[in-house]
Amino acid sequence: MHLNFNFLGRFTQDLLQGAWLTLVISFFALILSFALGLCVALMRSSKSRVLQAMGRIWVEFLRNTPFLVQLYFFYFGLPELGIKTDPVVTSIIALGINGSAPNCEVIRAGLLAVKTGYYESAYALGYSSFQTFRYIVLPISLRIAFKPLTSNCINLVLTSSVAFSITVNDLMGVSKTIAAQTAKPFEVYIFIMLAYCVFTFIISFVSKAIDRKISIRL
Amino acid sequence: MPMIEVKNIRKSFGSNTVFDDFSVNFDQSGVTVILGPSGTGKSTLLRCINGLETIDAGDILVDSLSVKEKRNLREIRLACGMVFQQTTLFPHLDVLENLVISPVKIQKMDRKEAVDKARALLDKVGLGGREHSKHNELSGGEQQRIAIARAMMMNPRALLLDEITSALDPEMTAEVLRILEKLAGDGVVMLAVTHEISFAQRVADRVIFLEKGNLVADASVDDFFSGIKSNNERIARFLQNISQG
Repeated sequence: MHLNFNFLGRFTQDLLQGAWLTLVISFFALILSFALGLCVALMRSSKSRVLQAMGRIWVEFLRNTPFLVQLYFFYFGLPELGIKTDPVVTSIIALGINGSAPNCEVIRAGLLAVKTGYYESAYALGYSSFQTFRYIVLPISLRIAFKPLTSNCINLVLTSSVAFSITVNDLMGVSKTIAAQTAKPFEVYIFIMLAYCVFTFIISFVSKAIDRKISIRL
Repeated sequence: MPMIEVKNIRKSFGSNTVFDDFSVNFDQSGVTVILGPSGTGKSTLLRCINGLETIDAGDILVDSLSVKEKRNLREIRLACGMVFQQTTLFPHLDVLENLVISPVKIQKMDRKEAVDKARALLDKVGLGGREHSKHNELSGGEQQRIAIARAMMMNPRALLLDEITSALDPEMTAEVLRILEKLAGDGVVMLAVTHEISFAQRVADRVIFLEKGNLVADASVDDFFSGIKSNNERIARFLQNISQG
């Protein structure tokens, strides 16, 4: 079989637009997944049993249902209740909510890794519980959690490719169209896989550089 | 009027009663060394004064403020700085930020003023020039000296020192004790749980000896190491055991 990628040159504009949309969806979903993950991690770490249970149900439900089903629920199910958003926004919300479950677990592990001594040192210096969390515990736990959060981030970027199934023209959506138009799915999907690899290698490289700067030894 | 009044406190951990109707006062000045065998309540006493442990009965007043009232805790903790046996410098911050963050965030001190003060304190503890080191680049003795400087940044009227040299080798212990002697010379009130008898003899004004949550001796340092030591067999044995290492 003779591999030829030259025909992809005609689709440069489409591919760049698709790649840009993949990055935009991933970026906003990442922020949402982090914010929700932090909130649920705090619920799971709280003293209230009700909040703990709610956090646990949230994580278990999301981890035990397929992402595609969640995405379809948001896109096809919620409009029946009058809640309708465009495909890109729906993808961001679905990815953000789905990504909050693993982020919650990683952030929670970071919170649990902060030794009692740091809390006591802060209290002894006059910090309130909130100030202790804000200035001492959260920065330490996020540094501890940074590496696994990066893995979750890569996972989220790769999962974003499912968004094509609700008509989003992201990198995957564009490649599906090109494959159909050119009847060369083999080359197209090899190229797309390489493109996703480039994304994740860049994320990995940048996060390693950040990790070297912020990593701490307890 | 005493700065710290411990009034008939009871404190238990499960079925283990550490204090039962225990009282003691600490004055507005001077260095008090708290001695006693392990598990006798020395650290618990300091932690109760600082509000890190709750008391089951009785009361502790710091500057007439009760530790039982949650709203008083911040003021009490600012009045009584505490340094622990295990150093817990905040690992995400360098030395200078470890000193600066608390007065800036808690006391709303101007940052420049806090930095100047931190530099002066670092010089005082002999660690000027190490302001950008991280905690894992410092020896145990250096970490404890930073922890003392960090506590002093909040201008406490008293320092509660909980066996701060017990995890250090003799050389590092000597470094830390030199700093404490300097601070005592500057008039900082100290309550020190320690097994460093030579420190007690050189620096302390008062020694109290606890055993099983009871005050066995409460005397001036001279009286303790002359009269009481020879009259009380338990104390004599304790001091002998310490000196034998």
